Amino acid sequence: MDLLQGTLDMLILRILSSGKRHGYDITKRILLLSDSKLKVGHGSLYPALHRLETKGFITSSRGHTEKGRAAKFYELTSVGREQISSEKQQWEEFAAVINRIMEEG
Amino acid sequence: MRRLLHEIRNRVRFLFGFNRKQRELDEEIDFHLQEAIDELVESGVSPEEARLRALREFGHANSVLEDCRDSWGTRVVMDLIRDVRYSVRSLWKSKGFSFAVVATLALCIGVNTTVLSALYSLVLKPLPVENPERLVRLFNVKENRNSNFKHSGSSSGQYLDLRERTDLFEGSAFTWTLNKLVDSGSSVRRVKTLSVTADYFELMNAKPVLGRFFSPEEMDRGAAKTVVLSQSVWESEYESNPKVIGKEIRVDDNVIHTIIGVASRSLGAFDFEIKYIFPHDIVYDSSRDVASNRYARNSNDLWLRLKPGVSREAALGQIRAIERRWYEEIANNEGRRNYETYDGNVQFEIADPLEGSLYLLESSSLLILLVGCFNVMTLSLSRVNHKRHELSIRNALGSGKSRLRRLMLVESAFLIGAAAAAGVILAWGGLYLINGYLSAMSPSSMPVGLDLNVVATAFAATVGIVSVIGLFPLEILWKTGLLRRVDGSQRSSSAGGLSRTVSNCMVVGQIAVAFVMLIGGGLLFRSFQNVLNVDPGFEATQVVQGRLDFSTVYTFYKNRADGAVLKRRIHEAMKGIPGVESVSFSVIQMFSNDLRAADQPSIVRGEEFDPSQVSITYLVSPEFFTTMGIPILEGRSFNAGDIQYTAIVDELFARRYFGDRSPVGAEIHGSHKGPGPKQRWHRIVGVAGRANLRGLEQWDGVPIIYSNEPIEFGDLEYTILLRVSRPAEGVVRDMRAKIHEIDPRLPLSYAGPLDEALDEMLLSRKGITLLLVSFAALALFLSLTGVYAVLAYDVSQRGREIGIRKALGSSRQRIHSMILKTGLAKTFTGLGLGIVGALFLSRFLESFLFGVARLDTATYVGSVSLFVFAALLACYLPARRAANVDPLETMAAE
Repeated sequence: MDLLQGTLDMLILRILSSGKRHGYDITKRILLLSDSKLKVGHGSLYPALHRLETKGFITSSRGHTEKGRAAKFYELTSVGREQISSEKQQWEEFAAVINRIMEEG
Repeated sequence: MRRLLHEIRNRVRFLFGFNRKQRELDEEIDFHLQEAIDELVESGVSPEEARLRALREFGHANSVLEDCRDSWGTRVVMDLIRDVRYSVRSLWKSKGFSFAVVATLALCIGVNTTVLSALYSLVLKPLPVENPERLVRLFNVKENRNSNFKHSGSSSGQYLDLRERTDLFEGSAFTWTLNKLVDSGSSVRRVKTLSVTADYFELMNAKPVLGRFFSPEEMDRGAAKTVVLSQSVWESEYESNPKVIGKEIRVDDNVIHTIIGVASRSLGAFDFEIKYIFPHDIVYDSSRDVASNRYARNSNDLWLRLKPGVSREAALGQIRAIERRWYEEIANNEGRRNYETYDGNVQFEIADPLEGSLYLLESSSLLILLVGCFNVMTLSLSRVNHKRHELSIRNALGSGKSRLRRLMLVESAFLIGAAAAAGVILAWGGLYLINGYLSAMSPSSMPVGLDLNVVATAFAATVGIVSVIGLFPLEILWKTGLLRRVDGSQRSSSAGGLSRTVSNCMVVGQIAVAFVMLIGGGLLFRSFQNVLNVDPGFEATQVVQGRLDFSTVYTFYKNRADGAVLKRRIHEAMKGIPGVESVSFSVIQMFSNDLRAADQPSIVRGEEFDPSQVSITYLVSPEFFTTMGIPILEGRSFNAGDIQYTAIVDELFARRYFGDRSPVGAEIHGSHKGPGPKQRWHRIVGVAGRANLRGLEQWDGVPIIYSNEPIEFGDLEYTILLRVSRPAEGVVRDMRAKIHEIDPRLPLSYAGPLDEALDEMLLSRKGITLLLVSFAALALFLSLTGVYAVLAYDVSQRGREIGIRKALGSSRQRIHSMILKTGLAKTFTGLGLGIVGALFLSRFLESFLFGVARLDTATYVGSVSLFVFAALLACYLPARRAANVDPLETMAAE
């Protein structure tokens, strides 16, 4: 299944809301939560992460994985936290509208 | 808002940490791959296989990198840096083109900024007062018999009347410009001073930079004498010493004035020469309020400030009504009534001697700019054409139109930047030169500075040029669809039809404009030659002059006998200077527009008065003709024993009033109805050669009557003339010493040889001629560079065609003349247009011409030949290159 355009940023933010993660972890998490139905291409994940960082929704820091490998970890900023709730609300409105049209149209 | 700031901060940070960012991204992708490999290995895949699969899955790492960089928002900047690098490299590669463009534009910017600055600060700049449009200087105008208008200042009578009887003005002030002898302690000099009424400073919004202005008590005639310094004299003479307040200066008859303040520089805009300002109180004297006093006071100025919303016409109407009342009630309809009162635009008045020349210069410098732009466009068009191959490859490889457009723009911006920098330096040099000339041509004008507004305007204009010049050629290429074709056909001669048409038009336009300028320069040059060739009618090189002003010492020689003794002593002392052959004087200053030299009617006794004729009377001492070297053609010169009422007329007078008859023995009078009760007819005793005493350009001007004035009479002011047989400098030195010996308070001005004074009169004509001729030369050069560039480009484009022609048997000579013909065809088309332009535009030059018609055939023929000759030179090189084309080589190259 392909990701709807514009939803990746929202998903990334949501996943990061449970704590800091590195890029590879995020793809796996999306895969896991979607029952392996959503596969985020690496080619779109990293640009999205950098875009979010530029916008100031997330920050990055360097750390080590459990296996001791050096990696770059992302976490939400306070701005990002506000952004999730507004995006969630927008998404819900959007989904509701689409649903209504699909059912009644 | 907070988010925006965040974003901006991050973008800036990324921009500067670009390399670190890049490294981190590499590491991150690497980490991602390692994790993926690890996971695959854990699930049982061999490490080698896992690696390949992970890489495959990840996709093209480069495009990920590219996308990430995009998200940092640094792409635009990185591209720009790349464009800049590319432009610098490519401009450096074609140094000839870059230099030509920068030099052309720098000249255009330099010339235009200079002339615009001068025009602005001398003519257009608003006066440094509040609401300058409401400030009015009143003057009286008298129409003379030639329908020329003569301006003269206003009088204190008018000032008092206006103050009392008008309600349309907010304020008024009255000033006297007077030359006074000032002893500042360190030097004794005769300087221009201003005496002002109490309301002057407030009217002009002047503030003291130091001290204060006159108090009401100090305006009183009996009060202790005070003086205010101008800022320029405070800076030069007193080295801006703040302790100058309280110091004393001695003025004229040794009257001590105490310095109480320094006036701000803004007052200098009215007359930069004013050094000291004195208080002056007006006391009305009805016996002096007669027409000749009321309307012909030249050194006096009446300043008025209109109330808001009052029009000049309304104010003028009221003023004229007051004058009419004065004429009927006070003057009882007596005196001359051919005066009219006008308001003068203040700025106009001050810049008057320069204004015409400045507008002429301004229009020529705009024409230079036009030629320069045409030139640069032609150059860049042929350059872009040249680069067409490269550009189309870039286009095919994915550089979009906007990218290519940006590339051209960056290149142009570079060129313009360099040109602007060089142009500002040129402008600075130009203004330095102008200021040098200015003090001689119009000493009362404030020096011109590099005005920030003007530089900014010139700059804004050049930015406009950048975009046009940078994009225009590319636009044309795009329109013709050339960029899309990368195949071999791009070198065919049919390619670039539109761009060739455009560059041909540009070249023709350049030639036309340059030709118009060449005609202008040529006409002015011939005028200058004509002026130089005018026979002055006297021997300027052997005469030294010096002007004496007795008004300052007059109180010491109150009775006529004392004055006569003084003058005779001076006369004897001058005769005693070694090398002096004869001594004489003239009351009217040489080569000046002295009011005393005003045109007047003349009548011959027993004949009808001819109102169409005017003349001037020069009061001269008997030895005048010997001293000046003016020949006596008929009759005799004055004798020492002649009575005052003898006259000598010049050739022109004899011709105009007497025709073929001899004027000797006739009687004349300088009025329209003959002498009044206390006057007498003047008997003509001789006819002198025509001498151009009002300057070389007045050669066919007004006839002169010389009237005999014994040496001890003269006037309050006169010019001593010495005929010398040794170098003038020594004589002038001796002259000063002798006069100082006789009376140290007696000032000597304008001392120097007459030919020097004549040269000074030519200064402004020389300046404008020099500038216009060099502008024309510049335009000629630029337009020929254009012809050369287009032809050279043509030849390089038509290589194959020429090769084929040669292979088919065309001789070198035929190819040569073919290219020459192309060049000359453009030149002649341009010349044709230019001649039409010159016929039309030269009318604006008419007032600057002297002894040459504006349609002077010689100038036109000369300019055309010069142009054709120069164009042949410009065509020669490309033609030779074409003739040398080797058919085998061109074929091989295709």
